[in-house]
Amino acid sequence: MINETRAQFSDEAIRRFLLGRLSSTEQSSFENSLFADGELEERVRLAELELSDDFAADRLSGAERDLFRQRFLLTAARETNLEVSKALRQNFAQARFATPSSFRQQINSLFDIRRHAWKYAFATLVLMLLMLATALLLRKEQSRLAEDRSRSRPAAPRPSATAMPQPAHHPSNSSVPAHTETPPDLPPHEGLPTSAVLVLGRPLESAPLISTSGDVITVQLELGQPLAEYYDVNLTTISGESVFSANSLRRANEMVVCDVPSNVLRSGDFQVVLTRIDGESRQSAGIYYFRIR
Amino acid sequence: MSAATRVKDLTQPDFERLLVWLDADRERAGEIYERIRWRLVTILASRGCPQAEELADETIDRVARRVADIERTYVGDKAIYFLGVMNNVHHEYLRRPASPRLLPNQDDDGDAREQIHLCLDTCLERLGPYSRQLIERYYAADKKAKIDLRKLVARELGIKPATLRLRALRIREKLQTCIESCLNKVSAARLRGPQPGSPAGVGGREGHSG
Repeated sequence: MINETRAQFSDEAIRRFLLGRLSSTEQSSFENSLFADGELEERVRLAELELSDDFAADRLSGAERDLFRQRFLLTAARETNLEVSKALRQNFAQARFATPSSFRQQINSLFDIRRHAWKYAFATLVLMLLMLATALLLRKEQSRLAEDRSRSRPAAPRPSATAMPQPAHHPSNSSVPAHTETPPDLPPHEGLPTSAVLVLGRPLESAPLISTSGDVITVQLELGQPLAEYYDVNLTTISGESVFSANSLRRANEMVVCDVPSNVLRSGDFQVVLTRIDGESRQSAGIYYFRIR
Repeated sequence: MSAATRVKDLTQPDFERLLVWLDADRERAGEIYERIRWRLVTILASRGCPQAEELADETIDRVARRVADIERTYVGDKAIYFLGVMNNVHHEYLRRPASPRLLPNQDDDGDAREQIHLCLDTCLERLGPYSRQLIERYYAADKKAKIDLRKLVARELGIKPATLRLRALRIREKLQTCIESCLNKVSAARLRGPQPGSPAGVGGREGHSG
């Protein structure tokens, strides 16, 4: 019986009970519940106060106001309730919400940790810090792995070569034309360089002159787009006779450096056939010319 | 009306027996008594009875006189027994010829209103700062914009509007209790004769409420 009477009543039903507007069936059920259910009792107590507040604040409809006077305002306690509601309203009438609060109150309110905005902001900050820390760790780890990989990578199969490119007697600025004059057909002499920067697309007529006075000559091939990581170099005479080759040379910036033993070279004109390595495929990356004197 | 006040309308042994029947602990029995009386009054008022308080007291009188007979045999929720007796009392009342309702004295109303304001000030001072701020903002909301403003207040305080309503009403309930106690003390003081001082309050300063 008691469980049956503990049916849930909405706030609206409670208000109708207080204003005497429940049907006889609802009324009977409500009365039994009120005696059996402490939670309902608490809700009705609060609803009584709220009803008085609403009456005092003129928030009830005309019909509700009539019922309030006739069916609600029947006890001394409720009359006192209503007077307190009116007093509260009058008391705080000056403190309208729109009235700007004092600077101190505003500051206090702004930094009140109970505000949800602060809770969310704090949670977001923690999340961002975690993400930042993770990103830094990942980056550091990647950097370490890359370093390890480069250390453990077997040396590219290069022919005997000088460890470093020889200083070229050409300006590093490629926009300045180098050796544009037609090379004179002069006998070899000791003043010629043993290295040269070869520019893609430069014709044989304007190709640089290189001396074989040293053990090796060094050619630096300026690369065209798109770039690859590794290149094959095949050095032939102009007639196409292969004299030297080097595979899987690693690109340094936008340049491939290749050392060629002097003893495979004789006076004459040469071309360097460059092949780009893209994974399993190989594509022509251009032809460069130079002359040996 | 407190349990102590009611004793004048009952014989002392009947009243004592009633309290013991409700609970062996006297303080707890007093609380149960007040809650039962409030429920009786609320139900009678909801039925439109203009003498709800009188009929509730009559119901309690009858139960108190019956306790000696039923205390050994009655099984079940004791509060429900009051409901049954109240139904009888109310049916008897409805068969009686209607009696005119006494209108309250307007002069007394003015005094009472002033006294309520004084007691309200006293009781508001006893609220903790958070409760005071909450209730102040809750009641400052303009009636036409009630809902939106209270939503705004709730957002500022970092709580849901439903929570704001519950907290405000619970503080309001505390205020009501405090004010009633204050009014009772003032009435008692007036009966004893004029005395200087501010309206009497109850209880100490409350802490963080809500």
